Amino acid sequence: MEIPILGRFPHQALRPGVRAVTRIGLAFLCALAVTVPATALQQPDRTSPFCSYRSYKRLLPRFLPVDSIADVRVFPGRISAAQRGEISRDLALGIGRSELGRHMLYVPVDAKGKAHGLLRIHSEPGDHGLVFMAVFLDRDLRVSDYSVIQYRGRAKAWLQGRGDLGRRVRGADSKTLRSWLDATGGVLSPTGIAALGLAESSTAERRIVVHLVRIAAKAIATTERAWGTRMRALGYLAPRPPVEEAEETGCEQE
Amino acid sequence: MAGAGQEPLDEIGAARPPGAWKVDFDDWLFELRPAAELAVDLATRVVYRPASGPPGVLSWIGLDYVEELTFGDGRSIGTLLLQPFFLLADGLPMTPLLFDEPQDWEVQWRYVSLDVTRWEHRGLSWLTGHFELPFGLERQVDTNGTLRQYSNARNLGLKADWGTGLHSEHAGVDYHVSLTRGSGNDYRSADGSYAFCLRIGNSLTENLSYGASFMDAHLTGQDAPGDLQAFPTPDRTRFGIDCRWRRPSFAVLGEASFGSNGDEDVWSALFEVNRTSDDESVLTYAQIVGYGFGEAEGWQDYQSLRLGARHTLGASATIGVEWSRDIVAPAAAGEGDALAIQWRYRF
Repeated sequence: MEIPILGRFPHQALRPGVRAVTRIGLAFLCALAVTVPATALQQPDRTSPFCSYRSYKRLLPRFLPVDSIADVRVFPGRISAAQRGEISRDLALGIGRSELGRHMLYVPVDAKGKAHGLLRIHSEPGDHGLVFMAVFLDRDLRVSDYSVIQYRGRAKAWLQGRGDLGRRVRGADSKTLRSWLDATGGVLSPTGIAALGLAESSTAERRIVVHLVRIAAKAIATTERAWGTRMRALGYLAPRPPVEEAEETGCEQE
Repeated sequence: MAGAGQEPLDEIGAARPPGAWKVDFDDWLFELRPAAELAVDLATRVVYRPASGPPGVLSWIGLDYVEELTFGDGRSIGTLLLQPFFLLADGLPMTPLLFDEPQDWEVQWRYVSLDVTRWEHRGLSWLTGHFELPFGLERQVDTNGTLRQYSNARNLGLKADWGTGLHSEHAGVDYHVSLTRGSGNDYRSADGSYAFCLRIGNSLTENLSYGASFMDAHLTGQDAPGDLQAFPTPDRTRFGIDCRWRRPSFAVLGEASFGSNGDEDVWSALFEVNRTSDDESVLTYAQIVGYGFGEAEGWQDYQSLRLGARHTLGASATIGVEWSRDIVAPAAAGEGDALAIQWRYRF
């Protein structure tokens, strides 16, 4: 027998206590929503329940032969509001709310404990909603490879199929990546179009490349600030030249 | 490290908004458990169905805690997720099975799970606890606490259950198989209750994702609705397919299943078109929902139209509204409209 759709229970008069609690709760929520501008809390996006959280180790076979990975080390990190501001200033790029807060760094290691790269997942607002990409970095914090996790535009398949673009991006550091964007950070610079071989590409195709370049640059910058010191101590990142280290030591979180 | 986290608060100074204590608490939690996050989830949902009387209210307060468990050197254990919720129902037109009577409160465990992801790069994760059953669109769309829902709760008889399962993605194939208690929110065993579910599809990262699902269950452990003595037609079998197609300006989703409730044939289908704003702050959707069950005198069908919207206000607040209209309903139930409005605040 199927459960009746309507009228499973006759409506009963509300008990005064229950009614009062409900009304108070409703009033409290309305007041909270109106009087506390969420953006003023300097807090990462909390609107999605954490059950939507995903581990991204499953993406590693896209970048490495799975047999070469003996283990995947996971390191939590947090991008604070202060660091977000610093990164935004350094790169001259806007950084969205979803880029604030806790993030994970995945380090695949072989049987001898040697790191074979670093995997970061990064997102930013785009033309068709959030753009999620996986950026695989080498020991010098340069782009090794990438994969598009979410992009609702038609150019997603185009980008995934452009192996030559992957070869052109490979080895780029954050400064090189930033030079491929114009001053606003919203479109490719002539240098970027030439370096990436996109002279004949469409606007839509260039748009997704802009996201790739922006996300890769921000993934490198955030990785440096949140994990740089510790990853170097563990030998998962190559030591930095002394001059650069002196410049940025104060920015690192750990 | 703490100093870096405090700087923006100091900049705000006297203008610190009420609620900033939570940011301070987050700083403290990060110091204590760097891989953990905690949110408080508050909501009130008002549901009005004129045919059923005055509006009813569902309110909740809950904790949402997630932690990536690792050893100090980064060796991974898995993901711990704890979501205890305290719910208060007050005269809802259709009181959920969770509650014993129209005016009632209950503790609900939405997700209480440990997902052992140590071998996920090899295509294997081991999930144990209370989690959503892997059937249909629920595998790829989060409907936790939202007005927008899919078919599982009504079609399968339960949406989340206690048990264990394996899931991951391997060579572009996403899978999740689970064996659970068949008791829903409460963990109990009654007359060999169980639920076996399986969904296999392509990668969930594809703009066109699709999958096939199967369920075989004996739900004698599930709560009995209303004044019934036992959960009706506990022996359930389902075969289902689902699909999601994301386009730049809209998405199309659908799921359909057929099977049996005991000796009775049943079908269920849902079709949705939705649009998300470019900044993902506004979701609007339209659903056509239908199901039916075969009886001696023929098929008893039900169809309804649902129109809804959800607006995200900043980092914490969302408001949602859904209007539904019965297009075809069993004679005993009668057709009608329903309106639901929800305020939700997570911080």
